[in-house]
Amino acid sequence: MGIKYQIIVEINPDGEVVLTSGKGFKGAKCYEEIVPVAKALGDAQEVKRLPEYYEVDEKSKQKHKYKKKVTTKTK
Amino acid sequence: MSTCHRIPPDPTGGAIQLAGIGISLLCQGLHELNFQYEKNQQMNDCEGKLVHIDILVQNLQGERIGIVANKDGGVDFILKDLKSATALEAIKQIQQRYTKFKVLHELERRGYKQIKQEKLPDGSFRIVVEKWE
Repeated sequence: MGIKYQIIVEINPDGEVVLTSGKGFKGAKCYEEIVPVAKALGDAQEVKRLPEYYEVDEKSKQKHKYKKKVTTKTK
Repeated sequence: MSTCHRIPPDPTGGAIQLAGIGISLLCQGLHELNFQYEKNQQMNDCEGKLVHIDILVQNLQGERIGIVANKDGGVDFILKDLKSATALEAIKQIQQRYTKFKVLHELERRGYKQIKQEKLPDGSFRIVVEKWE
C-alpha cells in the first residue's frame, strides 16, 4: 500500500497562490514536491514552516529541514 | 498603439503567457467564466484606433476586453474604457482563472489529481490535489 500525498492550493482573487502540504508529507518530501511547482509559477514571496517540517520522513528515516509552505504571486 | 488603455503585466512575474500551453490554459479559464472569446480579432481602442487583438473577450456585460501578447512574454489587456469597474473585475477574474489552471497543470504534470474544489466567501479558490506513491 502506497502513501497518499495531498497538497492544498489556495488562489485568492488577486492571483496570489498559497501551496500547503497536506496529508502524507514529512521531512524533505514536501520540499521536493512543492518548491518545483512554486518555481514554475513564479518567485516565491513567503515561506512558512509547519509542524511537519520537523517530522521524520517515512522513506529516508532522517530529519530534514525544508520549508513546508510556499506562497507565490502569479498574477 | 497608445499606452493609455493598456494594463501592464504584473512586475512580480508569472503573468499570463500566450505561448505554448498558455493559450490553452487561458481559454479554459475563459470557458469556465462563460466569457465568449475569439482569436485573432481587431477592436477599437480608447482612441478609436483599430488594433490587432490576439484574444478578444466579451464579459457578461458585453464589454470587450482585448488580450495581446507583449514583448516581455506576458500579455497586455486592452480596454475601451479603463475606468469600467466591471471590465477591470473581469480582468481580475481572468487572471485568477488562468492562475488556477496553470497551478493545476503543473501539479497534474507531477502526477496529482484534483479531488476537491471550493470557492471561498472572499472569492478565493481552495483546491485539494493528491497522488499515491
